[in-house]
Amino acid sequence: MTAQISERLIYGGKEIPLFTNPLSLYLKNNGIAFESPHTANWRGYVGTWEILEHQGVERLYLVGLSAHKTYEEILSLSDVFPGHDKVFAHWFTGELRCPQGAQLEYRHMGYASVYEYDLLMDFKQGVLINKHARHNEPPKKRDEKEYPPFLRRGS
Amino acid sequence: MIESALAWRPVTWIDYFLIYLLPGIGMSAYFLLNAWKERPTEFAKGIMKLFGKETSLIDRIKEFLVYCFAISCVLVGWPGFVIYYFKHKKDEEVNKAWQELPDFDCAPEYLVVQVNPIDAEIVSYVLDPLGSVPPLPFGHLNQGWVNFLADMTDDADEMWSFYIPKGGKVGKYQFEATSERRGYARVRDGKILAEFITE
Repeated sequence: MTAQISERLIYGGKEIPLFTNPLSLYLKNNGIAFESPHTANWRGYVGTWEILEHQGVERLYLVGLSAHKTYEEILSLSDVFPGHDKVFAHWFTGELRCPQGAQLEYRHMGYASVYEYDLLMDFKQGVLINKHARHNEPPKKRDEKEYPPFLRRGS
Repeated sequence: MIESALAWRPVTWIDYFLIYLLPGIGMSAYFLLNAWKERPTEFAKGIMKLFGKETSLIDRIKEFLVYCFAISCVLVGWPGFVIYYFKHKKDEEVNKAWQELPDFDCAPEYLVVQVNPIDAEIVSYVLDPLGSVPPLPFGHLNQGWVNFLADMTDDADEMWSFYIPKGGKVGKYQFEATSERRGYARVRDGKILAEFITE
């Protein structure tokens, strides 16, 4: 599986990549599926999210969407959520992972690439309840001999 | 001649052994015919030659010996192949039936309590100070809720709330839940027929 295009998160006025798909539960519940335009975007959409603060409470909102109804036809946020310029992700409970810093290792799968830091934010029903950063060590380089023979390069 | 052939009866053990080999001969002929049909085309041979992967005489001899060995195995061990064929067919049917089963996150062990749909709706309204959520049960998930309720047509259907803790095993493939999940399930005779995940 090819590494996937990340979602985008606007936080503190800065746009950062987001390695979590908070929209997936909404789409599953409503029976919505988009078409994948290429192998780096199997889910068929890229959402732009923003954490907005109101009276000391930070909430997660979907503020932009580029979703492939077909390969050529791209839907925006107002097409999927008519009458809304932003959507409170009240269905989202879980952790958002935002990679930060240099890429330590590229992995050709999903959001598996390793970066210097991960900004991790916990949400409960769309409300930010906790956040912390995790420092990642550079993955240990494996010697070719450690792989099973069928994965080694030919001599 | 036909009459004499029909009148033939096995007498010696060699006769019986030849009769035993007959299905194996048929199977071998079938496999050889398939192998012949799937032989590389001249185009494919040309491509292989271009990449320096031409079949050498040694390769041909090896291939011939492999075929001899395989045919011997089929001739003698054909009952084993027949048993394997039917077992494989049965396994395929079981696997197909499993694949067609609905894949729910909720399992019976995650059911909490039976609930009334009206009670579920009362506690479902979402408050958003920025006014981006419709004033409907379950907010933006309302359509999913409506679809879930529309399928509750049988009197025997019960609605249960469920809770899956973080790390709980979910779905047919028993993946670990990356976060806690809550929602409602349609249950009949203890079996989950549908689910509506709220978070």
